[in-house]
Amino acid sequence: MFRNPLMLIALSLTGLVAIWGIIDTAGLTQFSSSITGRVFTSRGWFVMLSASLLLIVCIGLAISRYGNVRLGKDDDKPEFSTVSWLTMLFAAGMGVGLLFWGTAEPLSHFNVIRGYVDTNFEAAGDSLFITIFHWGLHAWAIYAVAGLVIAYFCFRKGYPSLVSSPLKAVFGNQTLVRGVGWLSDLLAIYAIAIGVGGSIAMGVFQVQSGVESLFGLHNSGLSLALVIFAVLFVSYLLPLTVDLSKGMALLSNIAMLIAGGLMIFVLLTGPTHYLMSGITGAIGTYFAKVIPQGFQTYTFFDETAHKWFESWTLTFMVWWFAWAPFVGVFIARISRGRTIREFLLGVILVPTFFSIFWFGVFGSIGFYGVLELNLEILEVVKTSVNDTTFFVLRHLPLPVVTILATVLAAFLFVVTSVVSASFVLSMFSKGGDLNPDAKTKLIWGVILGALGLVMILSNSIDAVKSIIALAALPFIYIVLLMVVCFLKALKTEVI
Amino acid sequence: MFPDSLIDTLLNILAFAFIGILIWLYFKKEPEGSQTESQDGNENN
Repeated sequence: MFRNPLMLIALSLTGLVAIWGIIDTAGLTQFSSSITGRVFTSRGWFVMLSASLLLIVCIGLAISRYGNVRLGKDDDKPEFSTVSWLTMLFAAGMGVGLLFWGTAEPLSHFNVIRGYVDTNFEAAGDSLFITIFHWGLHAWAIYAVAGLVIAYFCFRKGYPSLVSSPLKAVFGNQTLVRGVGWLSDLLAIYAIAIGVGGSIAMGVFQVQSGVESLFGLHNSGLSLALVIFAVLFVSYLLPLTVDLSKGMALLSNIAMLIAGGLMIFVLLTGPTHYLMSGITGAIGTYFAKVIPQGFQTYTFFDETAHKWFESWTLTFMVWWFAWAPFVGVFIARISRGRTIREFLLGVILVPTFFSIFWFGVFGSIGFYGVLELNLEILEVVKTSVNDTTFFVLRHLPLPVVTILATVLAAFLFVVTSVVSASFVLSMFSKGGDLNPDAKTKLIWGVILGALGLVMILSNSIDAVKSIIALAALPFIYIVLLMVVCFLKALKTEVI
Repeated sequence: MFPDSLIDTLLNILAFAFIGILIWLYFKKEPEGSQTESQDGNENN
């Protein structure tokens, strides 16, 4: 391990961030917020343009003759049936973020947007649209591009599943290319580690609110969060010592089933016609506005709108970039033998429709509470955003069961994410080794835990968002570079 | 105001330069044989 400089530097870099955050949480948060604020102001246009261009590249490839190119040898057949493959894509798309933000995000936007439009009804529709925009085609285009490039160079060209492989494959193995490739792998590791650390914190906040809700606790503070973190830490370290890949897939599927079941439960026990109408309206609004919204930077709006845009849209977009190498490797691994067209349509459209349904249900029920029942959910979103989902569930039948299910799903999502991330980080830091040793995975597990702890100590979801954004920003450049390599390599394909 | 504006300009110039490099890389002719052909797993560890 100590003869591998990439591994050593990656561990040191992420370890230093963790130590800094534990010693001086406020300092790290302040630093991240000021840098991301500066970069977002200056380069917001670049982030939006990049995300939109990636979506356009995906659409262009899917409808072009290159869509017939297979991610593998020409006679390779898909490893998984289409139904299993789509189910696994659902699993990749489902995460603790959806559970956390389902109702909270549309209502957070509503709090701001209603200051800019004439009626609350209009604000509700716009808020739902913006939320789905954040979790829809653009997010999945970023993931799809990362996955597509990794799958193409791995399965069709025989290179390791590394971010640097496209560079070496297209530009050769000169010193400069090797240097940029090495830096790309390092930045990918860094972005994944910080991104997953944020996911751990979000999962802990979510579980904490659920436990408080179940036992009637109020403001349990950091102590309960630390207990939950300790349980989580042990729960994901144990599977890292043995090969439990099948077990992890099972846990991930269970978490997904619980989340899907929860969505159907809310749809059926809530105001079904209202939620279905919300979903139908969201589909229309989304597909009518999605492309122009991808280029929207709110240039001529006031400071409040700028801050809102930076802390939501830009943050989410760079967040997807942070997760791109991780999710990309996962979707690449299950997509061998698919054509580029099948891959893109499956990866981009299916999870987007799922997001529309998810936020259509959880967002609309939030608006039902605000607009029809005059419940105080907006106050909950402002004062205790982690509790929003549970506030909704408390107003539906069988709250104990649904809250328990949400806590369990959040816990399982985080455990499976951290176990998978430890594997991918070990693979990346050991030159693409598909069977990294348990010791390396454990070290990454500990580092991820430390990063998660830092973000828990910050005790603020906004701090978590800015720390992730800071780590992810450089990775935007790497993804764009990967796309250029891929498009150049495609030109050599004989169709 | 002045340092802010300078930093803003520099950050944007870097973004322009990066876009320029991407366009140049896309159209740059690679020497014969440097473009990838199937490696048949020879780089897989």
